Amino acid sequence: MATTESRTRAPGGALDRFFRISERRSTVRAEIIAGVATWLTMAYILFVNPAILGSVPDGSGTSLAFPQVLTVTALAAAVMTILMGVVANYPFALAAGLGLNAFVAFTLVGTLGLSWPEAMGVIVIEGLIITVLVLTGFREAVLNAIPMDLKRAIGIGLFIAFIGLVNAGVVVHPDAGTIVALNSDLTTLRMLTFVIGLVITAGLVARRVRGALLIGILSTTVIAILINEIWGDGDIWAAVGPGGGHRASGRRVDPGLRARRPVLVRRVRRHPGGHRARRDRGRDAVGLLRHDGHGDRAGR
Amino acid sequence: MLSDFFDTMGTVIGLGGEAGLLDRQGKLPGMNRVLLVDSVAAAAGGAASASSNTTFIESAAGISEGGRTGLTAVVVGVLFLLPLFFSPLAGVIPPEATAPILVIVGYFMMVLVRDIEWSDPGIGIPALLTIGLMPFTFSITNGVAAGFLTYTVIAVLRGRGREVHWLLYVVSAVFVWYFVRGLLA
Repeated sequence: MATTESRTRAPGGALDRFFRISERRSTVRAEIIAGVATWLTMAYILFVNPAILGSVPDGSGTSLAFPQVLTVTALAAAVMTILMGVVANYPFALAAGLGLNAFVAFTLVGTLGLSWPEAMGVIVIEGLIITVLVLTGFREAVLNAIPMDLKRAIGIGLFIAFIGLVNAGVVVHPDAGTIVALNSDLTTLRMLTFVIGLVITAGLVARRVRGALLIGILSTTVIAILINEIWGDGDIWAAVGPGGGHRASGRRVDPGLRARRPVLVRRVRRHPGGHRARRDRGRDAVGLLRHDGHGDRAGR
Repeated sequence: MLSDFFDTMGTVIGLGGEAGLLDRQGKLPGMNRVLLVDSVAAAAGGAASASSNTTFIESAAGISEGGRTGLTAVVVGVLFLLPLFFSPLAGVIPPEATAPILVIVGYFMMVLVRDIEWSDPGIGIPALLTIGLMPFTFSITNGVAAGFLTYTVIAVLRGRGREVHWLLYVVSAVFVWYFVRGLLA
């Protein structure tokens, strides 16, 4: 008993001191569960960021490729979030900001006509300026100058939803008549895929499932692959990809599906597994597991 | 830059409050370190071509699960390394799969507009123009510019010009130039 206690305390000790875990009345286990929960909730940005950044070509016709943007989004988020944990010691996670990416794509590149390298350069300079402003305490002062009412009024929700509807082809720009219009042909398999995805995601969100957005993206992708294979002869998304120019012939999509499966399985397994373990322990505590005996506890 | 400026403060104070980590004056101890990492993240995100990185309000999910320290953030960061190995597969994700997420995220963000004092024209009109002009003109700047301008103008017209911070007049002047520069050119 004494040995197990000292063994569990020794590795927790340094960790506990560094992050002040018990001082803030938390445990290593709770922190890890919390980390998984936050990640599941915000991992959608890995797909949304490439979708937004990839939707605008610059003056030279260059647009950012989906897989590459996903990679750098993940890498930047990983490094900065770990930095936040180690330097500031708060459970705050960082990633490419929604709205900020829309600003880069639609304002810097779309409206002002910067090239993609120039636009990203502007962001670097902006970040450095803000860093200086933080160090001088100016940032807090400016924030206080803008009334709360006006801060609240800067809502980009409608814009983000609109981009979604445009990307899906539900809202189109007609040649004549109204300024924007409903797509006159909503009976395509692509539209069906979007609607299924919207229904799945809205349902998951309404049921407050953790990681609803991530599950929504992945399951819609699987459905898209199935629709593509079964009804579309692999041609519906022959050149899909917000990255553009990406040819997904039937043969290439299929190994993609197979290779993706382990990711899904692992995620599904990790999550309910954790819940089950917790539930079992709870039942064990009130003696519900004892009747089916078989040394469940001894096994552990 | 504007939203980078405003968002983090609100996000961090909100999250800190939810975690019960604010002090008695409602401030987060060591706030400057948080802001510092956040601003370095903006530059780093640009350098990585991922666009500006910032603190996510979604961190609330982990806080509601009991996360209180930086260890939670470290776990999130490590999990973000996993997709690096799978990113080539992302090419199979069609826009029809990400578009529903944009619609739902848009909904999440629209929830916040309930806090706007819609019945006060000095706030409701700028808010309507801000929110409406963004999709109508496909530009965030147009929306923000219209919102700031109408807010300042209405405040002056109803004799509350003195309550408006001088910085807002500067910003409004810049936005006037933004709208009329076509005439001058």
